[in-house]
Amino acid sequence: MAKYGVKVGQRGVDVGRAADFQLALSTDWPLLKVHKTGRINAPAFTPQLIVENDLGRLVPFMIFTDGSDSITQPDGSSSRALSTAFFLNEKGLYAHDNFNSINGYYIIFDYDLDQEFISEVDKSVVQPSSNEAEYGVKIPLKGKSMESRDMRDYILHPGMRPMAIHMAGQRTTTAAAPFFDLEHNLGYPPAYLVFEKKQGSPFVANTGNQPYLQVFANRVTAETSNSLRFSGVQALMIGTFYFLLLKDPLIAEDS
Amino acid sequence: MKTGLKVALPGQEVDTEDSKKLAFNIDKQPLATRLGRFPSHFSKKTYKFVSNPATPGTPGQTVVYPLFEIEHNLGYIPASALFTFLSENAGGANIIDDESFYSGNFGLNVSSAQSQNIGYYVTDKKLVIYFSIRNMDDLGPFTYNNMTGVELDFKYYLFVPPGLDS
Repeated sequence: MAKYGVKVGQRGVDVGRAADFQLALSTDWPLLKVHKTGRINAPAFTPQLIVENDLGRLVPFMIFTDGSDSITQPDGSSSRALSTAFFLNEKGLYAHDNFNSINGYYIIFDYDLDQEFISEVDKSVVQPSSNEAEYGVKIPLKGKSMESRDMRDYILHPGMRPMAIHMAGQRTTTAAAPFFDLEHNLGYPPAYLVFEKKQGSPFVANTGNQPYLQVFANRVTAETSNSLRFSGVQALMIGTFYFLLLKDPLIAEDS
Repeated sequence: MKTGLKVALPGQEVDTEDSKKLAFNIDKQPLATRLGRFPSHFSKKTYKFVSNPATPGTPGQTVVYPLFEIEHNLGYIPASALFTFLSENAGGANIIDDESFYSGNFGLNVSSAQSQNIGYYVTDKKLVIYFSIRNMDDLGPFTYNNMTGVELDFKYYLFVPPGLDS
């Protein structure tokens, strides 16, 4: 059967020979699309709703909290880093109870984690051309100029590499097998996001007995070029986990 | 009339608002990494810290050693992710947050500590990866010295867009 679709290469890459992770866009896989972003201002000792989840399902998210530690930032500059002190259920995104007030920024993505997905793999890699001419496809945000040099103003730009989803789904581990393996067949270890699915309301009274997601960080992955193993460090890793494997390689040198 | 661009996944109808069926939708900005101008991978670098002879620490003190500083000079704080390749991980990459527990051996001699951590933060100009020793008040005074060898691989991402606008 003939194959139809759209591919857009990154700057300097022959789109006909590009590897998956060298494409800015392809109809063969979804991108990790931003649904909603905003500020977080959560006072200390008050677990609370940050923002309602208007998608009504468990979706990926990332939280970046403001750095205010005079030890790590002696020059007083503001900063942000990924945080795991939050969770999301079908009703909203919540902050855990915390000793300190938390300020930061959230990103909620629009992707259905319940849907198993794996794309086909193209392992060819093309050396990008050194031609600096501006060819390619640019799509600015609504109201923004095509001439803008600020990458934040674009939906698609040949100088950006969107997070293309290679594989997604969920796995459940047990005491007998407290780990899960993912055969991705990419030929290189990819970047990933993993979320632990829990049930109940251990921190916030008004969330009810609902499933919720937490970012799952600081855990071991053992890897080969074609598989990843997720397991615990200090305790058995038992439960249900959602994963997103991205096309982006963790070993490739960037330009 | 609404104009724009949607690209459907194989076998899906493009005339839909269901994001699951679309590879691309002009109404949804994808998470993207910025390319060019700086590398995003560091491999096997050894850092030597001199804190010898033994340095006294006060109860409750957190001692921080910066490991890497990478300038990006974007002028705003981008979203980020940091993967650390630790020897304890059997070759795997570990995604870490603002302060992740670390059970490996930095060669550090510390008399007492609540935890050893690898953390990072991103400002509008740079990304900083650091190692810290956290000592709780009830552990009393402590000493630390001889942090002499660190070999770590890092892979970091700065996502642009979006920026983490205030």
